[in-house]
Amino acid sequence: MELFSNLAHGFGIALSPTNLLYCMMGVTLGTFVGVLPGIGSLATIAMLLPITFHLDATAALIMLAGIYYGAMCGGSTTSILVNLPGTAAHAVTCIDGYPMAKQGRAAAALVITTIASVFAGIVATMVIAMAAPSLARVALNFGAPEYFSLMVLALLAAAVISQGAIVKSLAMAAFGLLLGMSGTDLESGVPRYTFGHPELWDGINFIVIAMGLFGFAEVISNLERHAGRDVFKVVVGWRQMIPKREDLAQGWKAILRGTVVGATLGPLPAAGAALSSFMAYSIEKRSAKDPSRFGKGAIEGVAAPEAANNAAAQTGFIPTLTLGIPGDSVGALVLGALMIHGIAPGPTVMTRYADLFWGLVASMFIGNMMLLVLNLPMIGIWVRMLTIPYRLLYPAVLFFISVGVYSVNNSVFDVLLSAGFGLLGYIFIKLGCEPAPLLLGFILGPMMEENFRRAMLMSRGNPFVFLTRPLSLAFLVLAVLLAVFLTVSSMRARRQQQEMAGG
Amino acid sequence: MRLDERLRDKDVLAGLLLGGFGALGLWLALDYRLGTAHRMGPGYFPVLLSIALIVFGAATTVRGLLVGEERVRGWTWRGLIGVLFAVVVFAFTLRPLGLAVATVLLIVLGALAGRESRLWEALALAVVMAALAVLIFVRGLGVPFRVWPAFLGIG
Repeated sequence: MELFSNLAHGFGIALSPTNLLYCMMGVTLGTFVGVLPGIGSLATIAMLLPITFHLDATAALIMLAGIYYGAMCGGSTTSILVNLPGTAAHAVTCIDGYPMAKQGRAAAALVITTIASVFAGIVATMVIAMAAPSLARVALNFGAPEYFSLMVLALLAAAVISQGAIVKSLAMAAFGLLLGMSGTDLESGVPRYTFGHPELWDGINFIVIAMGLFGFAEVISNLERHAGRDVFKVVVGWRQMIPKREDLAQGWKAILRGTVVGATLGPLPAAGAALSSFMAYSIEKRSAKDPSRFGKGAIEGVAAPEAANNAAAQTGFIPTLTLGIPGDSVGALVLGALMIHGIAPGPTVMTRYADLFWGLVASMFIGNMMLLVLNLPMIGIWVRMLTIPYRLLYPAVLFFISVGVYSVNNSVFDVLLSAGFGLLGYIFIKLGCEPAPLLLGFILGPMMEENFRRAMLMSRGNPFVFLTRPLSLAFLVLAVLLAVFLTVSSMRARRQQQEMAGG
Repeated sequence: MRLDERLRDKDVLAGLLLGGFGALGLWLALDYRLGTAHRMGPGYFPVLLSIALIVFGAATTVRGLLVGEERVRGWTWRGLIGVLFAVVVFAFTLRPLGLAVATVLLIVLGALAGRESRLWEALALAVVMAALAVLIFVRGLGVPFRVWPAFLGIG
């Protein structure tokens, strides 16, 4: 079968000593930084991204993926022990994970999340291996109008999923697109939005924006909050780590359900890890015989969302790798990394860079196994790291971000610009503007313009081309339906809240 | 709510800020050739985006005026200025003074941005990070950094 020969080929690449080393380094670094409280998984990836630029493309992607699922896994440790979710994807894990820790069942919670993450990761990797080639084949038939409409859908979904008013997130997405226009226009050679700086002729580097918005801004805003935090003195001997029979009995079905939810929602635009962990949690709560256990340390409430977010984290690579359209900010970072290595994203990546694609998929199997080894016996070390005070962490974070930004182009200008985006990011946090749609817009901006231009050239300037092509129309209809559905449901939720508040 | 209270609403300010960026984008984009829908010039798409940004920004502000319920609060200057100052100093000292000195400056100044930092801890951390920086980035990844100040003439 083609699948197996492809996978075998991938393992041949992923098992080479260098790639194995980078996979190991990625997973370890990701877990390490992911565990550290106050540093979310996006900041983790953004911070470690520049390290991967010095490698060849395959090793870089393998390491990057390792950092990502390592950070996801490490983030769950922090959620359970300190009640501090590193990302939205872990927010639900806190609901039952923290009570479990308070009851002295922290070890059991950590073990079940690790098992859930690893199992879900392996299944999701299989899904990628099976689904990606056929999706890429479909995408080969996409023309410019289809791509444009698909990007509209992706941006709209990202805006709708974000917290806060949808118009505000749409404005953020539009601002991101506009920032993406900075640099030389490829068709006319005219420099746009460069403010007289030759450093901007190639456009703003996406690392500069990501580090500013997710790195510097996060540190600044964390400095307001951090006072003392309670970390549980967790006993994590071998005995506590062996899962109890009833835990496993209750947990394994939750893991299965969570995996299915995550693997299905992961590739959808903007759905990603956060939404799928929420979905998985509410499915568990709704289908449980005794829903009142939830919130008080129900093991399913930890197992299902962790399985879901890890599965979604991995299947989320599908649209990024096959269509060249990232579903969320992490996908946007991965896509940016691909482009820095000179790989034009799109459906041809799988065939033209088969080594990279299948090597990456195979490395995900290996990396998940490493997570198991890394997490279970070494959990004591990760727990101890939680006690590192933030006052020692954040200067180190500042350093890694600054050096990282500088080293991409050896540019002082980039560091200053990134500090500027740090200021902007802090203002955005204060004004409740989520940066995710902005980053997605920024990455999609140039592609969107190119496809818009091409589509309009094809149709001789007739904008109805987006509505007359069936697939393009389908994407746009989907986008509108999504927006309407979520606006209505959020309005209903607000009305209910007001009624409750009003008596 | 009074008007000046309303104006401090998160959505009102966010809309003004983003709409303002849209206006700036539009003003700059008018310098680029617009072209036609059939053959777009460099200005076409930016103009469309700027208009969209202005519209969404205005809608956000209006929404904030009508139903906004969250005011901006808890602005801290110390963390903001401290962190940004540390990074700017790092950027300007990296080339003339080298990676080691710039790192120490970044860490110590950065630590001053937090309220809980202690000076001796920051100094110790700075020395450790400077050593790590040289090990990882110069020896490990081979990024061409000047390690010591230029005037010492040792690399």
